[in-house]
Amino acid sequence: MILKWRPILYNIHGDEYKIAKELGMQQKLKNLSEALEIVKDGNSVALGGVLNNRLPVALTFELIRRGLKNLDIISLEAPFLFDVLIGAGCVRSLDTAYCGFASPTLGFAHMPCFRRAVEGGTIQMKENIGDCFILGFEIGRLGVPFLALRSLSGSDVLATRPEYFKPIRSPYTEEEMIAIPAYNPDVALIHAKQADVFGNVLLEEPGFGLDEKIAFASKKVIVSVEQIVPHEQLLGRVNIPHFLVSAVVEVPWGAYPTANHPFYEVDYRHLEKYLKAAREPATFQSYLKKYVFECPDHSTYVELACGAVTGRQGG
Amino acid sequence: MTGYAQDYSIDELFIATLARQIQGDNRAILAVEVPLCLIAWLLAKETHAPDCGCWTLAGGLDPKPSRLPLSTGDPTLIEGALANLDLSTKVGLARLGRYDVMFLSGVQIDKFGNVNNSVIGSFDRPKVRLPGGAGGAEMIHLVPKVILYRAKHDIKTFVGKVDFVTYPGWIDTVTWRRGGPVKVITNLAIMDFDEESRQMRLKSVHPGVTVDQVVDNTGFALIIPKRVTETEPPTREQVDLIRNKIDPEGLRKSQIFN
Repeated sequence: MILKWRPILYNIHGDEYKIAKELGMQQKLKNLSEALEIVKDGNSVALGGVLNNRLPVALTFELIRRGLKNLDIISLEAPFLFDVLIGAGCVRSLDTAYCGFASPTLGFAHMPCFRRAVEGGTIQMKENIGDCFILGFEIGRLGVPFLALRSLSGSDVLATRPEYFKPIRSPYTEEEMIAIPAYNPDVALIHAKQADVFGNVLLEEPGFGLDEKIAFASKKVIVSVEQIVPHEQLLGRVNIPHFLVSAVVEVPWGAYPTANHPFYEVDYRHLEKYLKAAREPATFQSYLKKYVFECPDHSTYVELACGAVTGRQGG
Repeated sequence: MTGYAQDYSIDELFIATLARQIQGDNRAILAVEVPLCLIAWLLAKETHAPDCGCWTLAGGLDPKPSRLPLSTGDPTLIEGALANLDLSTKVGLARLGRYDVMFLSGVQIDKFGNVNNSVIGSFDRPKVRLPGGAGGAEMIHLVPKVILYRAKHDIKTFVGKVDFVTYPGWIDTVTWRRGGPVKVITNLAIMDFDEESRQMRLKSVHPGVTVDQVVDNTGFALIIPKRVTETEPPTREQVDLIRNKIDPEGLRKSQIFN
């Protein structure tokens, strides 16, 4: 079921320019197209969210509209976006721990574009172990170059990435361990709950908590939010401070068709429709044309896909 | 006391068997919880193990979901949770040995309990690219009791040698582990591992299934002990809870039971 989330879009008030000046903060509110200008061909791009939760769909679709190429995508589990990005020809390599829906309604089916590309050898698959992935961002945000784990031996995944998983001996116990490096990608794309116009972001990501780590570990951060709110409302609750954020875009329903609890839930029907379309390259291209290229902005996409009223969108 | 059910289907027996692997105040990891493992955990909690806990990939600690999740990471798994620990902390709890039991599945399983969820064929140019292993390659070492499950027991799943070891079973290249696969539960039988050879051994066959049927559907020589018991059927209470309280919409039937 989809909750009826009717956003009230934000207007910057005069005081905020004053606050900005006093606190030395810059106005970071942009539209989608401006926000994504900093992403270049060949960048490593981390995607926030997990599975069907808070995937940065609006930001990613804009990447596709901008025609970016040779991206190295890094994300724990963002199956829908992996598949669309790969199908659209934006991806050089994919570093992930899982690419599937794991759902009784969508099946445990493998993602069609992803499969075609990996099986056809057109993208490089860098399989990772989920726990290492999480730790890579954990140490990435702490400024630590690597850490070692004793509990990684035996998996064939290790041998597929000798440049990533490195054997090391504990200087304390002489134990054999595996070292993994920090992640510090070029750009992170994150969809969050709220931010102010300066790019101070409130995440509230119960049960998962990876987006905050991704934001701190990445060189640049682009955030879309359900709502821009007055600066005062976020004081003391900010997860990502403004000086880490390059741009913030107000995109209600910005994670649709994945969920952003409690605003809206997963649209399983649309994801089913996507999976069906993606089965063949030709029907995938029709999906891309209809839902990405012919939609000038995210609200048009959401309205076309599920008929929800999303309000105006910046840009 | 509730007696055994006379009228039940294979999915109900399967779930009751999974539920029985969670005992007392066990804390379970239901990483890819959908839907069988979560139903089994809820069933254990409603019956013999009211104090058991769990964490799921994107959910809270010990949630009280009002409905079943429709995919891994469904927000219903945040409802009523004791805490919303981040994933890094949850995995840390497993590294510290605070979790007792975990369920894992995969597309191929061999006699040592190695599991493949990565590729059929070669890694670089696979015939079939599978979704990948998520965190299982480390988790399989961290949790004392790892239960492998597969609703489809056939020679395509139970192979002599997996094409790719995503989650390592009882093999020599493992240098450290706290636990590992102790049981394998399928739609035909329950298997465990021989203490000496560390190879898979038949433990019990489900009611109505013969030993030959299990042997014929296994692609390697399963150790057959002198005495093979029959799997305990679900109780009337378990079947009633599954059908009428936990999964009235029958989501459990979406996983293939042949």
